Amino acid sequence: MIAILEPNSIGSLVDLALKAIFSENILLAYFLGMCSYLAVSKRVDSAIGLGIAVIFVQVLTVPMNWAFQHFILAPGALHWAGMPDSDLGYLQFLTFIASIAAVVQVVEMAVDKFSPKLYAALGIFLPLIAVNCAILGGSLFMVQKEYTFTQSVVYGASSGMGWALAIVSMAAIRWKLRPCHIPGPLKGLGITFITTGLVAMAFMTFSGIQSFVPQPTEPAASTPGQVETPR
Amino acid sequence: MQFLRNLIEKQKTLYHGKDSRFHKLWPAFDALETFLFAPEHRADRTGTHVRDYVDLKRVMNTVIVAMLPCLLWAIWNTGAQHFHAVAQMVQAGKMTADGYVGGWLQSLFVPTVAAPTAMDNIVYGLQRMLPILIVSYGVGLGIEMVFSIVRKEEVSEGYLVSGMLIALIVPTSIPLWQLACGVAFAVVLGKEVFGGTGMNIFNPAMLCRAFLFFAFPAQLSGDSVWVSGNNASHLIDGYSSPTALAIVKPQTVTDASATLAQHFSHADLFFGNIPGSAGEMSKLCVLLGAFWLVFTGVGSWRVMLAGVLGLLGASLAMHALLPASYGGPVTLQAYEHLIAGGFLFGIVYMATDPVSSPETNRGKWIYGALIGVVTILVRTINPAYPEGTMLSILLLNAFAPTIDHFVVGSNIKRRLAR
Repeated sequence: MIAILEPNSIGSLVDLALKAIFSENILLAYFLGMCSYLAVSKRVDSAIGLGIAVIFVQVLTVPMNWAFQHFILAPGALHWAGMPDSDLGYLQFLTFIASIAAVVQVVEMAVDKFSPKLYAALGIFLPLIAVNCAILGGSLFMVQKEYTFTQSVVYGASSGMGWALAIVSMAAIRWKLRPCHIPGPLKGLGITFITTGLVAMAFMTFSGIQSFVPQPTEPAASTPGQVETPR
Repeated sequence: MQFLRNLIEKQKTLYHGKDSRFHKLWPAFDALETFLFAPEHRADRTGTHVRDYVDLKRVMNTVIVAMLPCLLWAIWNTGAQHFHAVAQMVQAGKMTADGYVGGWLQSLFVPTVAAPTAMDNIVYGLQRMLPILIVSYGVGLGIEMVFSIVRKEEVSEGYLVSGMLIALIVPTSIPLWQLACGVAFAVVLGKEVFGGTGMNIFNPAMLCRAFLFFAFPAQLSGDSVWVSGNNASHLIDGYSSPTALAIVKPQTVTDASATLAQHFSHADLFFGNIPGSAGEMSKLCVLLGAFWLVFTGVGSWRVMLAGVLGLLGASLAMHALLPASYGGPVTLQAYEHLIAGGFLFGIVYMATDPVSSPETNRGKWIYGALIGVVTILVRTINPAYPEGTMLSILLLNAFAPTIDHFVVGSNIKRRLAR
């Protein structure tokens, strides 16, 4: 009995979200978006700000790029415009980066308007989201894994949330580590990398979730005190 | 006693002074001295001081006392499970009682394989547990000693507890070199690089097990590693003994309580007459330890209570949320999640670690409850791991500072509002 759930059912979307947040965390499993992660994780408040900015940008750009991919870029996507043979795949990077840059510009203006303090705290890193590999990576994974539109919205939100969780927990850890006697050569980035590795191990908690597919098991193997027959 | 004191005082001159002969080894000497005698705290004449003989070493010893029931049960049950497995193999004709090959300790105390006595169980248990304890303590304390000497600090006592915990949470069939690798990883990368005892982010014992789990999955998971044997791999060839949670793990199990009851009675699960990691089997021993920890004030009852409530609540919630066709551990009764795995051991001895858990009281409630919830999530919807306690404690260790941050922030806000 193997019940693969429909791609848009609640169960499979929960799976997708748990995966994107924990076991396939865009930062801790793929190590994307490391530069702003290392630079802005010194204080929890700015980490939360950047985390929210990344979630926001991901939620907007991943579905947006899904639309670009499916209505313009993919082979045959321009069918609706009367060009069934078109293949604009070579414009993918350019289109994605341009759309991300535009969204980031809007977010930057919004943050400046509504929270000048956060704007000052984030400084150069807000514009840098435009070239944050986690954002572009999110869009590219969306294409590679052939998500539906609903899935791309969930994936955008949860991969952004995973990134935000990672940076917030790291900022709190670094704050806690301030009085510790860390050996000289490891101070700063060294200990941050080591901690990142350990946190990545902890984030493996949900690895193995696979769209609620029951694992085929040999019932013979799960009887205690049973003597196996030689193979 | 006075004789020992005099001996130490006499030797002290060799180590203590700046230019004495063995000054470099002072941390090692100091560790031995404070192990034997409470250190003399000298306070200034002026100002206010709190004097208390409950120093770190006394606290650690209290935890070790709390773990003694589990250790004793580990020694007993390792032997009992071993001879139970041997009897099964003999019955199946895969092995003869005369062909039984004993280990190093059994060559001194020869077991009667056909009808093993209590003594035989204990001898076999010691034969497996002693090397594990020696490797765990030897490697761990050795590394701590080297770091202390290089740093010119006192050797601290934190590892006394971690070393025992590590011995209690690995399968007794673990190859000793792998255990040594895991201990070295946990002590160096989990603790010493952060500055030693009291500064680590993750519980070193949990890190050791997680490292072994990911690095050597064949020896740390599966159905055959939980009962140890006497051959080179410390296994009984061809004998399979899945843990209680592994039995109910497949999604084809539609009534996990009934499936579990076919294999283990509730009394077996509670008293620990089951295969599993060395020390986590007997819930009775864990409860004894928990009472001792709460009674002495060393372990946080908030974390323990919140963890148990979180586990029970989440298990009831998953029962209600998941569709009726969904099989596996979700069909277990809520209380069976408590007695069927290592959760109690984890929440009592590992999650209450004061260093890697939140410092605020409200933070402790949140932290404990989330450990229970994540454990249930892993057990019910993650097909990869049957247990889940280890990784959920590690995950919440990573978030302990974050929880503290938000609790402290909300406390400040509340005070400002007053």
